[in-house]
Amino acid sequence: MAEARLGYPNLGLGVGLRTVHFPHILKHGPGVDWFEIISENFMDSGGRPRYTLDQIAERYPIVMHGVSLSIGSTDPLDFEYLKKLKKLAEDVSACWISDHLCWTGVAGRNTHDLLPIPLNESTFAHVRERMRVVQDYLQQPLLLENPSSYVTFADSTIPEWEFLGRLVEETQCGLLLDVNNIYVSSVNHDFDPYEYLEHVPFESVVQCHLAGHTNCSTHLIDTHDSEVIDRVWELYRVAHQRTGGIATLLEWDANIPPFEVVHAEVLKAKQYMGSHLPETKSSESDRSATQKSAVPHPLHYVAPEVQ
Amino acid sequence: MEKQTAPSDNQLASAFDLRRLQKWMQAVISHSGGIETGIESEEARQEIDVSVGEVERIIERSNNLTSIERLGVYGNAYYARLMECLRESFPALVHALGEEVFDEFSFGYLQQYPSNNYSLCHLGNSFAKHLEQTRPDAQQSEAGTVDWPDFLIDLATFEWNIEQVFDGPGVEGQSLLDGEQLQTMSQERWANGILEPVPCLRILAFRFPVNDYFTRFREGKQPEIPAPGEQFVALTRRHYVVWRFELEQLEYELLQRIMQGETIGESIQAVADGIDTQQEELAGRLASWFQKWAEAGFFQAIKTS
Ligand SMILES: [Fe+2]
Repeated sequence: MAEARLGYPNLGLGVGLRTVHFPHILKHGPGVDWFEIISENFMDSGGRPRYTLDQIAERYPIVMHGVSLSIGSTDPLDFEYLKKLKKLAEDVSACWISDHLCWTGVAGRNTHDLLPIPLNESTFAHVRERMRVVQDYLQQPLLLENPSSYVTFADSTIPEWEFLGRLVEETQCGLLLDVNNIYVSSVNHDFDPYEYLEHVPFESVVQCHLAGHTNCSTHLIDTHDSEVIDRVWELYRVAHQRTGGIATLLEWDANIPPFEVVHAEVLKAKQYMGSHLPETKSSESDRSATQKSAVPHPLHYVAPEVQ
Repeated sequence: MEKQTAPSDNQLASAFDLRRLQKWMQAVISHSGGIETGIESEEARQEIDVSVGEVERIIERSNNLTSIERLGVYGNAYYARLMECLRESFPALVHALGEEVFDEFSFGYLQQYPSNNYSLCHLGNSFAKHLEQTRPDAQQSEAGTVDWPDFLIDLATFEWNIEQVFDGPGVEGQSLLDGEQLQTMSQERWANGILEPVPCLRILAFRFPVNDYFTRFREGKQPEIPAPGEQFVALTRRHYVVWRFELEQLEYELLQRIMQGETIGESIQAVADGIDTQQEELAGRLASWFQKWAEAGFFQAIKTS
């Protein structure tokens, strides 16, 4: 049997590094276990963002999370991108690198979205081959995350959990399990999130994502703009039990509150780590705000400092 | 491109390849007219020839949403996300135009220049160029030529340069050329020297005083579109902060030549030829400029042969 978490450490409870928190982190050196960065925000930075990251990387473990690998695209892999990704990983001694099971664009374009692919034998072979090339190049296992999605394809024949499980088996990659994404997709695609969880190859899950989403009443959108809802925490409880504990990270990308609030949110995970029955009662309602529309996984912008 | 016809039954797996599906979906969700227009567009139909009514053959419906509505989640997000990003890159221009008009410009821009880079850092690369290309050129009215488009183009150029300087390569932690080095150099060596600018230095010329406008905008003063007036500006970065320096026209011309790799002597000669000023007066101005440039850290070194 494969080594748990591919031999990667359980880093504890971390938060996504966001530039609005830079001053707080540098000044107070908060007791957070680790940080995850969006790789693309730092790959080309020659200014303050990169300088700050280097300082933070001296004090905290850093994990790299990408949004532009586009492993599912039919465009050629971008080796210039991979080169920069690898270089950044070396520079900040990244514990590991992750991206999503998705495509971001085709014919040279980037939609800057995480678009789903049909899940069938032919797309599986496509992604498997590209994963091999990427992991060969990076010389380390890549973690793939299950994305939130808003459409399903008539052309799909394989459930997402099976698709990911087979990728793990055939490419020895790891998984980044986003329990909020499972929940969002389960509502959007009318499936049972516990059935999904049942089939996840937990021994290869290296990291877990938690986040808030937006309830648009007929569907959910993965906005990373609020607290984690109880139902997602309950899924996390299962993930924790089944993995025996894994690096867990909270993503908060829009309406970002002060650092302490974000940190406190991920620390709630401790309440779901006991093997006992829940101490907190799970409310039946989805507390996330009901809205008409929202933008999934907003991207970050760094306002320049000017004199 | 050869047309692919929609399959008549549910045997879809082999009917399309992934590439066609991706090109189709990209065309549909990024179509400026919305999902339904996107599905019917030539661009989409040459990849997968389905009509709006047939789209469930490709995209399934959910219990709550139709296939079109589900695609609409991606369609809404596509423009919203990128337009938000542009608003953040050009805050003063958003103020000048108002959010609504700015969004119209960026909506057009994204259709003309869709992102083709893994990073959003390059999204606004051609924004000023787009404003130039869509510039209303027949803006002749009774009152004369309307030149506000020049202001918008200049302001976009200005803000984009600030962003590039902020996160581009810099010289933090490196030693720069200091004024003393220049002063202790013999006249001849100095005149034959080539100044090496720092990589974050930008020398810009504008038809409108956009630097002043930007200052007032940042002070929260709600500036109005100013009257035309040339303004010359240098941007550079010290300790990760972008600094702005207003330049005299002659100073700008001199810097431009220096940036092109001409020797100091050649550069001075060239600009001095074009003006009517006393040698002594020019010498005084040059001395103060060189001192200012050194203090501002415009140059990394002087190459003397
Ligand atoms: Fe995630």
